[in-house]
Amino acid sequence: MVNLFSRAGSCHGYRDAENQDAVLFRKNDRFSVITLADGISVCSAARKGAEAACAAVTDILVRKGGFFMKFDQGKTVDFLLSHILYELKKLAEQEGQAVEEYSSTIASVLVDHATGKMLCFSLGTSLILAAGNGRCRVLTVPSDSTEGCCCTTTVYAADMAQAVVTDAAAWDIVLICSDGAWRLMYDRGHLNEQVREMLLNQECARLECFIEEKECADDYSCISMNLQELQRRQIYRGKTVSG
Amino acid sequence: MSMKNMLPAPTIRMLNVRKKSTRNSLEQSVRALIDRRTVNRKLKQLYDARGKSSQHTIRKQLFDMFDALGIPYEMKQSDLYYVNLVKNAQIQNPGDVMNGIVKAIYRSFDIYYSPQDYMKRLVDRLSAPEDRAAWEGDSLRLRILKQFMKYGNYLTYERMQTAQEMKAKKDKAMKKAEARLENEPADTAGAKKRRSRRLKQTTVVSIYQGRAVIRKYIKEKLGRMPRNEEEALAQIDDGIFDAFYKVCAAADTWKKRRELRQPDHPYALIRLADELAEGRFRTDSVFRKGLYLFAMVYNMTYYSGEEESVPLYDTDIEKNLFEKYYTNNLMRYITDAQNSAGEPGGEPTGRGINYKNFAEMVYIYYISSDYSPQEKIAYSDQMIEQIKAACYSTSQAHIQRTDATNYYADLMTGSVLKLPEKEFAQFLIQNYDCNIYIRTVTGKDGKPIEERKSALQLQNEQNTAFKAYQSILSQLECTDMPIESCTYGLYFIDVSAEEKFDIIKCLGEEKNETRILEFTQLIKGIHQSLGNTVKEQYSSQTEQQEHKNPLKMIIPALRITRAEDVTRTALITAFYYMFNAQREMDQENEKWCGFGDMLEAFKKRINVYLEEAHYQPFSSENIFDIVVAFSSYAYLNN
Repeated sequence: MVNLFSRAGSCHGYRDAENQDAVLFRKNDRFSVITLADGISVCSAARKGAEAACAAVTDILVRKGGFFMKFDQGKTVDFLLSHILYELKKLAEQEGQAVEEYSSTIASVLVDHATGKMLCFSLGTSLILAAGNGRCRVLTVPSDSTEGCCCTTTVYAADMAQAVVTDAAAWDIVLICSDGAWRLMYDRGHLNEQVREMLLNQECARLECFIEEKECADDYSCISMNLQELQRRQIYRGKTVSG
Repeated sequence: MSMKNMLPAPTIRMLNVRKKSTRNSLEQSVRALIDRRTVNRKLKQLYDARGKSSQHTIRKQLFDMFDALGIPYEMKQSDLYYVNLVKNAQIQNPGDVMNGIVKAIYRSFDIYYSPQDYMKRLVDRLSAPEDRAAWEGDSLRLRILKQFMKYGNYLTYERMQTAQEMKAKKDKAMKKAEARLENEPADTAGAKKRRSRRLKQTTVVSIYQGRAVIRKYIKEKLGRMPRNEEEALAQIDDGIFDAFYKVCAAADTWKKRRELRQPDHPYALIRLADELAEGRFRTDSVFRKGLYLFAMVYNMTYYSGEEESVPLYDTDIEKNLFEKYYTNNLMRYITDAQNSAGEPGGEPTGRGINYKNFAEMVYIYYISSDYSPQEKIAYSDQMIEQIKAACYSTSQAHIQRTDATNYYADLMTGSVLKLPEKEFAQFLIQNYDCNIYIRTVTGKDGKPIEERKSALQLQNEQNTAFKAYQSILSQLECTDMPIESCTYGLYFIDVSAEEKFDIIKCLGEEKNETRILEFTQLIKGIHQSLGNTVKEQYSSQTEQQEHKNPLKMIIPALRITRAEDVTRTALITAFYYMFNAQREMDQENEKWCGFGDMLEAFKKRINVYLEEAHYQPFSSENIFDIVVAFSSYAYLNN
């Protein structure tokens, strides 16, 4: 139902082989959540920060998912970012480091089994993509990082974060990709035809091979949730939307 | 060697620090300047929101303020805890904050990329690694010229001759050649060469002339023609630009200077490379074409907003050549205008891609494609010529469904860009104004001459932008502020009288006098862009009398009457006066918690008009935008 892979890029590989991405999946009777955090490479505790942010968001979304489905975009973003910052500050205090050293991007998808709704939340350069019924769609667009990346410790990060609620039943699969991964899946901004086919056929293992075959300097991670399978197992009661 | 060149190469960490310092830095710096009154207002809001759903958002905003002020705090505490925290913290007074904002704007200006730096960064980012390494020591203008030579074949291409051209040439040259061939033995080298030339049915099209002077320059340098393109690239140097400047200096008449700007001038390609490197954004159609060709040779991308595509911010043409580039050029224009160095009428309009213009759509179509740069250049030019020929008519009216840019922007979706070439051309012919005919006039010899526009001049009006501008003006007219009184320009600082010039006072300990002077020029330039017409002098009238007799002059930015004359700065200027007048009227206006909150409100409202007009939204990277918003804040808090 959930497929994930996360590897250190060649740039990190030469240095200390530390992968600074973190991915996480969690579910309960009502909600399923997938999350990906991409640690900012110049920060000394990027990996820890990414893991902490991942855990913080996943945890709160699974526990309080119902609230977020009712919130408007601004409130969701404010709530989630405050929570992440709170957890990061606790960690930073414990370890005696500046909180900025724990910076990462963050992206998360929450599926509500009861309503068939899906909440996508993203801050930074990761991409949330859905595929199904013969088409693919970018649900949250990666943000501009040419002048530096917006991350979990950025003041006024809420201005740059995105939160959208959509119908999960319209899609077969939803995936979150770090920028290292999606850059390999796209050719000049257009989704690679082979990748498109893999996504529509829900061939995550093939996608993994496709990405691994390419040389990538940056860490690359991808976590996907098979919504069709969720539905088939009657975990949620969403209606299938055709066309 | 300048000091700049002696600095060590930046490490990854240093680069990132710089990135952090420039990214939205101006907005973040000014938002970080928060006075005690502002924090107290936020605490009051938090108190009022107890038990309401907005409580969490307000608390988050309070934390952002603490972060910006550098006040250590605990999260998830009682309201009383935060009240005590504020009481005991050292927070600035409102007056200090005003000075602080001017300082922040100055510091942002101090690290602002010049247009040349901006272009260098762009070229560095877009160049292939091997070219970056090979041309490392070259000047930026030379690198751009080499890119045009290597990837754009000097902006020339070969095409098959038309039947008409063939016939005309045959009539003239072929007769001579045939005669010569008959008198020559068939197996000599010269005869073979001439015969092959005779068989050649292609013609070379130069979109920008320049190849001949470049090759001539290399010939003079080497004493022979370059053997191949590698040699030409290796031999070309900055001397070609010196030769161009000599030609410029010799152009002593208006006619000659105008000819210099034409794409068929022998040095047109050299001029284009030079202007691009200088970041000199001209508003004419010749330069606009040059921008698209630049995008092609550097393999830039276009984001159509298609549901499965993603924007590539570092290579996107709209973002890099029409938005950020505009921001840079606006700064340049304002300071140049102050120094009287700017070209008259050359104010950057701020308009992005003109979606109503068929030729620009052809360029976008090929920029989105996977063809090589040379193919893109050739095919786009050919398609434009074909459409021009197919639609040329001296009698038929334009086919243009609507004047609204929105309609055309929505037409250019991903599915249209994926059409096969013939279908795409047909789509343009059916939906766009492609007729370049203007009128027929009688020439000096009494013969009729058909006047034509260039393809890029078609549908140049900005009707949607003009409507947005007019809507702002009509709202301004509904306020208590007469349009003739909208002449105060910037409000936060007295820049109208030299002797009272208090920027330096605000800047305090800043030392760099040259930069301060440049900054002063910029602020004065913005002040005048906002239409300040008031010359401070001693008046015999009382204040009351002066108020009763306002100047009967409307500033240029508020009296635009033609759609093609609207600019982004004019729209912002109109909005600035409208916003101030409306807020002033409204006694119960929103109680902003400092400049940050006001900036949010200003941005939100102005973006409705800017986006509708297809201008780039309010940009916190743009000093003009921030200065205008800050002036509004100062006006309303006066």
